[in-house]
Parts: sequence; structure tokens; C-alpha cells
Amino acid sequence: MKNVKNMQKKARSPVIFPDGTRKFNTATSVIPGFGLSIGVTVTMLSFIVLIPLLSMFWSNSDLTLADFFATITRRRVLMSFAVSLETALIASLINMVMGLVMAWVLVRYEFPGKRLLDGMIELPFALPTVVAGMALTSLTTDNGLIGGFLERIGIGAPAYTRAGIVIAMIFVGIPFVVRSIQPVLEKVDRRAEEAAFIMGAGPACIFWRVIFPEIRPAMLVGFGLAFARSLGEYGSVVFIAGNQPYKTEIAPLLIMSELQEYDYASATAIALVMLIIAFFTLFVMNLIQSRAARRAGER
Amino acid sequence: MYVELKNVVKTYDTYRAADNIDLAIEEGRLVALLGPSGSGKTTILRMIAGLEHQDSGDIIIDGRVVNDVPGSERGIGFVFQNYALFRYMTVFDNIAFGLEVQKRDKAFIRSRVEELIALTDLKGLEKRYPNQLSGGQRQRVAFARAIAPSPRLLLLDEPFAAIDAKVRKDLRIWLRETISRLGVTSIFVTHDQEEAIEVADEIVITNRGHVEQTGTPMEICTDPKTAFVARFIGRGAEVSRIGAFSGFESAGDLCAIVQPEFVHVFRDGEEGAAGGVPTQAGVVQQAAFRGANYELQLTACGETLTAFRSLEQPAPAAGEVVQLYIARAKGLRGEETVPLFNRYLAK
Repeated sequence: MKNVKNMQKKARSPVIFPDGTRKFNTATSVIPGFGLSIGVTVTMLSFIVLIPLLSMFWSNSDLTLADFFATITRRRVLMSFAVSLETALIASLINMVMGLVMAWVLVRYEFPGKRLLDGMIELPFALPTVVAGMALTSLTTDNGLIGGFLERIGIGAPAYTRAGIVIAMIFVGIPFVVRSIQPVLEKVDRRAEEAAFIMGAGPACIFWRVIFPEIRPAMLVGFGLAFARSLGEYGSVVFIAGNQPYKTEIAPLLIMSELQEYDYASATAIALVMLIIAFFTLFVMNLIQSRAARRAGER
Repeated sequence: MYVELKNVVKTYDTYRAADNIDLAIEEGRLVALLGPSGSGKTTILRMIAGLEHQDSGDIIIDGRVVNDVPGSERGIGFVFQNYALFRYMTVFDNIAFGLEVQKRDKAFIRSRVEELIALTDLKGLEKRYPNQLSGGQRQRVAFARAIAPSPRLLLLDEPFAAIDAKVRKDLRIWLRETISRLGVTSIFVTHDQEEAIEVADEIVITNRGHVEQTGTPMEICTDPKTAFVARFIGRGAEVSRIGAFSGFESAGDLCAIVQPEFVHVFRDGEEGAAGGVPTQAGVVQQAAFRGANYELQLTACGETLTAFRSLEQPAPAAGEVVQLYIARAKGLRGEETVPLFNRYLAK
């Protein structure tokens, strides 16, 4: 009975039965045919993602496995990976917490200017990241507004340090987290919170036991997207990082400098590692999401 | 009185959801708050639970004014419409939640939850998640979760609304029996009068933010005190001039509600069954099969009436002229009601 209802509701997407099998309900689909639409999907993915990435390796097939490992285990390269991963991780963790707070405010409260604030969340998508990088740099150098203040109180200006890289990554990553959590938080059943409240649960208990399990997958997905985006970010970081080898040189910058020295093989080797890390991150996030969906089922 | 509301007022913007509510509920009773949607019944329930706060007036539970007591400390169990189960917890954890929050020891929680699982007939489903249950099972989990901490007052918001008809019928009977066995004072909200009549010891009828009438289902059905209740309860037809019908001449121009149970219809040749009570001619407009009986729409004396007719008797066809009399009616005088009886039947 319930399955039939779900099938009707989800007629336009594959129906996943409790035993895990999928069926495409083509009879009521709006987009003509599974065959055509999957064809379009695969073609698009191939042209935009797969072929450009693969061609990168084809054109550099002279790179042997030994060369590859020699390249990526150079100290400068390893340090750039470390800087990239460290700053992206810190930025994404901060983003996950701040993004949750922002999504919470946008979902749970009504206040003047809410629409404006909501619209501003996506600004980092629209703005050329170079512009953001320049703006953030001028703010955070020791004669900038924020950097100057931090310098005076003894913390030190964040520009040209890893802190600066983290700031730039927070900027580019925040929309992913907010936009992942927001719709899920909107769907959280307020009655369940009331039920917990009446049974005597305090605010912390309600949050951790009732709300958090609902938004946890979305938070992780947001984290994963922000992390992947931060790892790949170049435009805004290039200004603020200072690009000192071993200290503030991130992997994408190193790729760029290898390219400028016409060392395509090295650039490709580093890029391949970046690609694997990014793919792995996104794959894990996808896994988490689908597992969570299976556990809670359809509402 | 166990639960009392005194002059309770609640306003949303300009809309008065509760307009001077006075209500008293005895301990151990199962009470239905019945009214059309928007009549304020859910608001009353949520104010008692402490989920909404009244603008003025007092709410008293067990002799204690709870105006400033948060809902979490009022000793209430609440069953939500659509159940509001915790989706990421198993049936067991859902039921145990209230006890865990109270920091009861593990062994006690286990035995209490097992007791409730037996009571609600959920054995074998302890490890399931809410989305793996049927509507009726979810309802029982919600019920078990609400009564696990042994509340002194159980509130249920439209507890049967989301369940299909057959299961609903069984659940009503089950709920009524279980609540009377537990002896917990209970208030439930419903818009379904049949449900209220079947389940409740006492019905409170609400309309536009105030209480119209309180009474047993019998009192509400046979003796509606206000024009609203007379119109709302049953499937009565409104007659603009009851004096036109034989036996009610003395009522004159009074407007009245005539319940279908009190309209007796005779086909050609059946008049003898009227037992000498004078009848009048009427025309059948529609005869609909209703499962348990036929429902007839009739016109007589320029008025429209509804009547039931047993399935044992042949159904009159639309357009057929029949004989009828009205046994009793509720005259409406302003907001008051006047009981009216057919004078030929009175002797």
C-alpha cells in the first residue's frame, strides 16, 4: 500500500524497492524515455568532465610510473599537498559549523532583510574568485582594516600565511554548506521537536538527538563539497597565500608554476593526485548520503 | 476538577483562536474536543500542553496553576497528528526517549518499554524504524512513547486522522479500552463527530474560539443546547417554518433542525404503519444507498428534509410521492434551542 503510494509520488525518478532493486517508471515520465535521457547525461558528462580529464593523461603518456612517484614525493610537492589538505580541512570544518548557524538563522527566524541575506549566500559563486582574493588580501594585510587590527593586538596579519588561505577557502566554500543544510532543515518535523520538549528534553538534547540526526548527512555533504571546492580553489588563494614554497604554496599553485616552467609531466602528476583526492572525497560523501537516505526512508 | 481553563484568551494577529474559554474536565475521563476546523480545539490542546501560551486566563492542572510552568514540566503525554516519531530512532528508542530524558536507570527503562510494547502489540518490531511501520503501528508507537513516562494527563491531536478507515475503527476501540484500563485523564481533538461519539466519555463542542456545549455523547446528540450544536451534530436538515408540519402547528414560524432519524417515511399502501399519526405528502428527490440504510432527500411543505429508511423495506424511487411525519425537532430561537415534539405522538 505504502509502496504503491511512493511509486506514484516518485513516478519521474527510479523507484527503489525495499530490496534495493530499481525500476524506471517510463509510462508516466515527462522527459521522453530513459534511453534518451541517460544518453544525454552520459554525453554531457563525457564532454565536460571525462574527456578533458583523460586527455590530460593521454597527452603526457611519456610519464612513467617511476617518474610519477619521483615527482609527487618531492618535498616541495608533498608540502604543497599538506598545505592544501590542512587549510581545506580547517576551512571546511569552520564552514560546516558556520554554515549550520547561517542555515539555522535563515530557516528558523523571520527578520527584516532575510531575503537579501539569503540572496547574498551565493555571491561567492557569482563573483570572480580573483576579485574576492584581492578584496580579502587588502583587508587582511598588516595595513588592511582587519589585518592591521590583528597585527596591533599581537595575533598578526593573516595575509601571506596559511590563515589567509583558510580565509579565502571559507569564502568560496560557505555557499555549499548553507545550501546543503537549508532545505533539509526546512523539512525537519517541528512536531518531533515539540514531542521531545513535552517529554522533558532540554534544548541541547532536542538538538543532538532529534534535529542533528536529520541534518547530519546534509552537513557531511556540505562539508565534502566545500572541502573539494577548497582543495581546487586557485583564483582567490593566489593573492592571499603569498605562495612561499613549503609554507603557503598550495597544490594548484604548484601545478601552475610547473606549467609556467613547461614541466607538463610534473604538473600532470600533481594534478592526478589532486583528482584522486577530490574524487575520493566526493565519492565518500555520496556514499554517506545514500546510506542515510536508505536508513530514514522516504518521509 | 482535574483540568480547568478559566477565561483563557489566545489571539493570533487579529484572529481569536480562544475567546474566553471556560472548561473543566474530571479526573480519569476521556474527553473529546469536537469542532469544525478553525474552531480553536487544537489551540486549546496546545495551550494545555504548554506548546502555546495564552494571552490571559488561567490553566489549572491537578489544582496547580500551570501558566508559568513549561510544557516539559506539566506531566503531560502528547500524541501528535501524523505521530511526529523520531525517524532516526528505532521503535524501542522512540518509546524509551521520555524515560531516558528523565535519567531513569537502564533496567527500569528496558522493562517499562517492554511492558509498553506488549500493551501496544508491537512485539517483534522493536528494532524497526518508523518508516518501516504501517500507519496503525506508528500510531501505537506514538501512543506508547507518550505514556511511557506515566503522564497524569494524555493529550491526543487528531489521533486517527492519518489512518485508513478500517484500521481506524479498530484503533478507536483499542484506544478507548487501553485508556480506560490505564485510567489516565485524556483529551483528544477531532473534527469527526462519529469518532467523538464512539470514543469519548464526554464531548466538548468548540466553535469560533469558545465552548458551545459540554456533555456526554448522548446529551450532545439528543439535547443540543445551542443552535450551532443542533446544526453541527447529526445530519439534520434545517426547516425554515416547522409549524407547517402536522403535529408542530403550535410552533408557528419557528425555524428548526430535523434529524433524519426522526422523519418517518411511508410508501403508498404503508400508511397503516404510521399508527394513526397524521401524515403529509412529500416527494422523493433522491434515494441514495448508504450501506446501512437508504438516505432520502425529500421535499414537503416547501421544505427539504433528509430521512433514513431501512434496507428491509423497498426503496422509494426518485420522483415518487410518499407520506411522512416528523417525530421530533429542535426549534431554534436565536442562539437557544427549543425541543419540539409531534403532539400526536406525545399521547
